[in-house]
Amino acid sequence: MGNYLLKRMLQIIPVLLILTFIIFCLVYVAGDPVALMLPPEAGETAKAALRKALGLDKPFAEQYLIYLGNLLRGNFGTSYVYNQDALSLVLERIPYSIELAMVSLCCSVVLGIVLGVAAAHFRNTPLDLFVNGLAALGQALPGFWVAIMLILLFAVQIPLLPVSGAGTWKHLVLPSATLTILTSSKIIPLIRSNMIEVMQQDYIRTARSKGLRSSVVVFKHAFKNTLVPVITIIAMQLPTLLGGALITETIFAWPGLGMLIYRGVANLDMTVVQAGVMAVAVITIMANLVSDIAYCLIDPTIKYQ
Amino acid sequence: MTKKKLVACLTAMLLVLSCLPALGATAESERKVLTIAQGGDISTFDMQNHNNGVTGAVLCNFSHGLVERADADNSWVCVLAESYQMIDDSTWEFKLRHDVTWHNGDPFTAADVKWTYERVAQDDQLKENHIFKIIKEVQIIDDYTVRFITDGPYPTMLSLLSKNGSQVMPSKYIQENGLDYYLEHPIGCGPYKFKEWVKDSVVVLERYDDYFGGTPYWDEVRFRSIPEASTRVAELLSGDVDIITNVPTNEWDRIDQNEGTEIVLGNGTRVFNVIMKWNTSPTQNQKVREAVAYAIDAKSIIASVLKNAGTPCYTRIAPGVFGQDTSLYDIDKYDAQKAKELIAESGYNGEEIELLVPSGRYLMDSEVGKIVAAMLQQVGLNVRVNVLEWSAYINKFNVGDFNGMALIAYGDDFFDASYGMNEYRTENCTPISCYSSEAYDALYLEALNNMDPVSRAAQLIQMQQMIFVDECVQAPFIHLKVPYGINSRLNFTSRIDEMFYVNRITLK
Repeated sequence: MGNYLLKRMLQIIPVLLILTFIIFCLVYVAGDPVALMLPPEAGETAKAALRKALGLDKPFAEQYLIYLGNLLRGNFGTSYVYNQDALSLVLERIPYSIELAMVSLCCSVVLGIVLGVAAAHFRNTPLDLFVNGLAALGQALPGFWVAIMLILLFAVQIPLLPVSGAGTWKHLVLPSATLTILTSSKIIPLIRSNMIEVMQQDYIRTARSKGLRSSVVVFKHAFKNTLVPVITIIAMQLPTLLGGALITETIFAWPGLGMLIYRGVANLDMTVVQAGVMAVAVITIMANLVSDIAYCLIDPTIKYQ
Repeated sequence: MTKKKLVACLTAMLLVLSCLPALGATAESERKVLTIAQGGDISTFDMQNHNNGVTGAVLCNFSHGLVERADADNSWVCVLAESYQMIDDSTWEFKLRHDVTWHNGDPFTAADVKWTYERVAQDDQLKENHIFKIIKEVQIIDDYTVRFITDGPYPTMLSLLSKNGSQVMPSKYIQENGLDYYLEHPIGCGPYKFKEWVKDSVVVLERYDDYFGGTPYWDEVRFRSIPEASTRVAELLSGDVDIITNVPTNEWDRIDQNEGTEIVLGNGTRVFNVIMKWNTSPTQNQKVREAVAYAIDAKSIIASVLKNAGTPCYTRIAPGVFGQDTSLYDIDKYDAQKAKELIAESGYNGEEIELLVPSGRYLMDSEVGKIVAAMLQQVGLNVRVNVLEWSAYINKFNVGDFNGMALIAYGDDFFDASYGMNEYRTENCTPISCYSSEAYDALYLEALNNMDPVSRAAQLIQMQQMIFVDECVQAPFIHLKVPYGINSRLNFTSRIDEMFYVNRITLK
């Protein structure tokens, strides 16, 4: 197991190097950042001068090598927009993204498990139909619509919560509710189908025949074996919630990593895009690693070499 | 503890906890707090390195320039300067106020002025360098007198020193602590000092009690960054925000009909323009270009899509900008029949013309672009609309990567027509429109160094006639108004430069 973990950690390095090259290429071909730094009225002479001053007139290969050289020395570069170290910008945003992601993920998992287990236990009853319907609705509804509806209902019509922003627990409610609705709707069907499959196993039949209470059979014997796909979902959803909750962050003006990366792309602020994407990549890899370890803990039959 | 006692304790705790917010609210409600929501975040506290209106609207409350523009008529007023005079064509002298302090208590002196403007004139990595590099030197005559030496005659010195991005920076503080420290802990000399900046969320400024202009009106000013327009509107309707910018037209009725909020239409400098390629068929034919100008029914667009938030015009120079040709403003030249005749005379063979249109950058830009394309199609031009998000649009626009025409809405924060008309010089037209005229280039350079305002204004007007009438290089058509959503508790007068000088926004 130790060797396996070490190998996985070392894999991060080539993955990140390849990622920097891909991102650099994509942002380079997307266009000229100077076009966005100066107003259209500035004139071509002024733009050419700024391009030269920032080294953006150099050939692609030279720009990439300079960037890579700085990166290997721990220098992620300076944001063209904020004129601040790109890595520090990303690190400022990560706590907000983690806060929103963790709250949303926890709520999604709890809601997903409760409703998924209930739907499986009461299979083919009105409750099962209702839960399946909710899950389908959650997957069908666009995220921005859900967000705007929640704002109109709970912040404008019934002013219980703030419309947008960050800073207090109240600001967290609506954006995390939005993400919970979207994420839990993916978890519910998975838990339900896994529970149904597990409940049909011989050892469950044995447990029932021993006269154990239904709740003991479900939660002590069956539930543990449905956790493997749940861990997979968490590992897959975490990077999405951290760096991809752009629409939710934009609508709620939540200052997270998704919005920073989006602004970086929109402004062709290459250093910020690189730093942001690499942060998400590292978190994704770590999340996958943690999920691999969790598999072993839950299911001792899983071993790594 | 018995069950009854436990319930009693919990009830007492809940009662106490529920009272706490009310206590906080009472203290909070006695403070005067103004909240403004813009569509983006500021980018920096480096006064000369941002070049965007969102940042400028915050920084103008944080620090000052030597001169600024008055709210009412856009004339110049001395702020950090007590007086100024032109010594000769290349030398301007400013006497500075003696009673100004930075937010850390340091006195404002001539050294700050010298450091600020020589820095931006010499550092070509700063975004304002291209316009400030005309300053050769700033001489310190004494602690409160400076002289600006320009590279040749420079009639627009006051426009330069009052534009967005002209605020002075604290030289001693930056030299002692470094620029990076200043950017994290900025200080200015304006009525509001830095309290907090949560990036992509909010900039909070608080009252600076030792402000030379008297006690600032607000205790705290919050500039929030809310990218989504519907969210900004919801914030205004819920009462958590006092002023919002960039309000789409489909929300105006909702804001006006809501008790306690209203829409205010202010003046700005943005003018919708159709840029036309000078060197490719068919727009290289002047008759085709003139047909485009006649084919656009600006009044209909203003009445429908823009909800009367605009004025028809045939110059990109807006009112309030020195040197505007007023004969080209608020007139209607729409004539579809004449447009058709010009197209027939031009020999146009029906080839496709692209109209590149931005989306989400200007008020109803993509809608206006589509309507313009339809109007051009009605007079016989085969126009294909290409709508792009702003960063994709501006990259194509800047390299001239469009086949025929592009829609844009130029602004002007310099308030001198020489700024906008600079674009038509040969060196700046390449590769966008590729217009080139030696006569125009010569006239421009003559006006650039002309110190007589009367004859210079005449030259600027002549330039507009050359570009927009004689050769019809571009087709400006609508001068846009600027919509603000405001809380009706405020006395708010918009400014033509779209800045928010919050000390002059008060409660009714």
